[in-house]
Amino acid sequence: MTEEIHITQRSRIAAELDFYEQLKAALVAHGEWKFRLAKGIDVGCLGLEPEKIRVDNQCVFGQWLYSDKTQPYRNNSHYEKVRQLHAEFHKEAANVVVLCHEGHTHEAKRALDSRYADISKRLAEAIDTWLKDITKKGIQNQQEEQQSTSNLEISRYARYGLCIGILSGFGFVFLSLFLIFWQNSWDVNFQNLIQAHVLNWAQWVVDCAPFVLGSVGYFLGRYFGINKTESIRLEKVVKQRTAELLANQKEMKLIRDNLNEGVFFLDRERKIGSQFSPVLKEIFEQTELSGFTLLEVFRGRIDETTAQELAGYLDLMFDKTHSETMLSSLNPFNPLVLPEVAGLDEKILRVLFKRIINENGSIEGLLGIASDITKQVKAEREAERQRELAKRQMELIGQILETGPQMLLLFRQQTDSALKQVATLLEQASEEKEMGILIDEIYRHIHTIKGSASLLKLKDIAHAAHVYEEELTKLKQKKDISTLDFLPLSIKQGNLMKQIEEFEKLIERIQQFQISEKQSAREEDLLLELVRRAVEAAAQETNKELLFTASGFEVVQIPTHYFEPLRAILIQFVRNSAAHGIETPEEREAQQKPRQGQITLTVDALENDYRLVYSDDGRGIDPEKVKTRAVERNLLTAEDAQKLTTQEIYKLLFKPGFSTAQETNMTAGRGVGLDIVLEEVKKLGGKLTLRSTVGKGSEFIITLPKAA
Amino acid sequence: MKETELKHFVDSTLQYFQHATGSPATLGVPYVKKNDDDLYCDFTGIIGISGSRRGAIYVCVPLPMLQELAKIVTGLNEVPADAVRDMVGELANTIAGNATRSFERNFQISVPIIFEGKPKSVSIQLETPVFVLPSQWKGYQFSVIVGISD
Repeated sequence: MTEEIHITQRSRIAAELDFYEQLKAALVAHGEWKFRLAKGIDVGCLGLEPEKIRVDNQCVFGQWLYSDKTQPYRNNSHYEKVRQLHAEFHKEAANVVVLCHEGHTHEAKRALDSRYADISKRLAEAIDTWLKDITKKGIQNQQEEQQSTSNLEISRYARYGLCIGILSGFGFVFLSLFLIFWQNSWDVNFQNLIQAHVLNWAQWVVDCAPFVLGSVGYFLGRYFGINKTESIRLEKVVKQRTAELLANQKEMKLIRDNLNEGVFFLDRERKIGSQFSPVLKEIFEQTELSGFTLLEVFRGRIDETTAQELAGYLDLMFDKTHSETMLSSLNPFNPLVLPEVAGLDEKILRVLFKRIINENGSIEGLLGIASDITKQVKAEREAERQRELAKRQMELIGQILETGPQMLLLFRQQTDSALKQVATLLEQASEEKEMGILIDEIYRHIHTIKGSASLLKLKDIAHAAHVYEEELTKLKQKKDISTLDFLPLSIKQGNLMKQIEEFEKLIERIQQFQISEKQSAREEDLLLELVRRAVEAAAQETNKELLFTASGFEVVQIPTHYFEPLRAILIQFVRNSAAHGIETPEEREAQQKPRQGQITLTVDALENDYRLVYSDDGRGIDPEKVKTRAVERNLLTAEDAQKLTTQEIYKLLFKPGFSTAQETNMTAGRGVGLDIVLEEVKKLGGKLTLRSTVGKGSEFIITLPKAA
Repeated sequence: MKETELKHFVDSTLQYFQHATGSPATLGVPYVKKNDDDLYCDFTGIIGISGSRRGAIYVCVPLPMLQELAKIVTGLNEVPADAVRDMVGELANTIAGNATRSFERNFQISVPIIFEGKPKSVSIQLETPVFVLPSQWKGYQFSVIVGISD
């Protein structure tokens, strides 16, 4: 019965929730309509159809309003009011659109602001009232549900009480009748018996027993019912609270077990509590933690001084007179370095503490949060080391560059020899030999290294040699020197050797850099390769056979800054040769020339200049053709053309806009080419000379100054 | 290389001879050399180190000592030549293994490589500075050579 009520109420709540959502959506949607209409009026309400707008069951809310879902609410006053206002709203909206379509924009706007606005407002208010009612009912329903459950329980027990009371009363009456009948049956007839019974007032009292006991039973049942209901309620509360508690505990465990940090409680005796995140064992590298103090946990990993410092800090943390914030800045656990011991690597921890204050205001314990920051600290150390190394190397490079190569060579020879002699001295040493003498000899060699390094301002090497010297002095002062005493000396010597090696590696790198610089001077090879490729491309483009040869570049080193302009100039020459100069293989054969057109490039160094000669063995430059083209191009008149010398005619080729190719293509220029070449050469401070013999070929001579 | 680390190599060497043969070895005067300096011995057992530390450990032993050691360790009067040769690898492995146990553990040690004569072409390079721990056992001279980066 109770369960049925629950189901009914739940489904009602669910339905009302849907209702609530629909009403909310309607409130928003119908509010937006004003905006749509106002905007629509400005453009003649295009796209708005009054007949469709007029019907109130086509919009989403309307569809819902007339659907089966609203069936249970049809008698509801809210429903009827909202339905009517919704229908009126659609009518008014349609009227506005009609006015708009008829061109009565002004009237449409007025209707929108008056009638439409009014109905829209009323609809919104009706929906809002309904919404509020649903919300209020929702709360009432919950209360009613709880109340009805309790009432049901109480009335159930009261009914039980009533039934039991009445039954016991009747039982009592029958029992008394039976007893009377049994006592008098053998000497009194039945009529007398009844008479006696009726006249006996006490018997009447007995007859009332069912009613009296029934009433008592009812009230007792009701009372019991109330108690039972209360006990059920309390039981429910307890169950609910227990479930909440278990859920909380589960959550806490999940959180605790998945923490990356070791969270623990430290009691007043500085002992770790029983509850801590499992990762703490890993962080502290201990399997047992509960009941142990932190000093016990770190025993063997920290020295006495550190232990005292940590204990002192914890004492201060338990002393309320000291500010927690101030103490956090003095925390010796942040960081706590656990040095490397046999079988265990160095570990760096950070343990932060927070006081836990109880209701009396005193410190109950400390909440500890431990994390392993070894990787982080080591990464920082490494980064710092790298920075330091880079800085040192830069200083060293500066020193190397300041020092002449001869001095460097001398220093390297000296250190190498000194270290080898030290190694030999130690290698040949034996315990029988006078150690003092041996140490003195080593000292002299190391001192030489230190002196030379200081002279060359090689600070690190000088420092390492100095440290080595100090170790030697310490060793010499020892009375009984054993071979084991040489171990620290070896380490210092190792450091010195490492410094020297680092220095030598740097020198090597500088030398390699210089070599690669020299190698880059061989960029002329790259230049020639580019020209060669240009020749191949031009040959393919023009269907000619071309052969490129270069000479002089092995001997003459042209400064690298000439390469880029030269590359552009030479490629232009190649294009000209392929397009204009070199004949087709057939033409060449007919002229008794080899099928392959020859393109050559030579370089030589003059006293003040470099001279590059580019030549081809093509048809050469015909001055007459050049003149004709120049006249065609309006570069000069026919009359003037006749007066020009050959050199002057050649100069026409370098004028902007001149091109003798019959057709422009990828290889032959579009009138740009030689003019740019000339300009480039001039920019470089050089000269360009052209020589040509018809039928034999052309030659471009570029002269570039040595001192650019 | 730290002093404590170098000391582990000394201890490991001395302990090996004490425990395996009952005859103690003694340490001579240690010295330092560069990694390209010449090294010569009859047999060399090499253990390579890779990972966060790089370099190698060489154990350089004369043949007669190796034969003597092989006899004691195996209990045989005549030890086959192969077993004698393997002895130097075993020696290098034990010394290096015990000594590096205390090192930070993010590095690997190789299986022993045995070399007869001058181990010039061995690709496992000692890192400068190379610490030579000359030692003596039963009058034989041998060396443990350690060249591991920091």
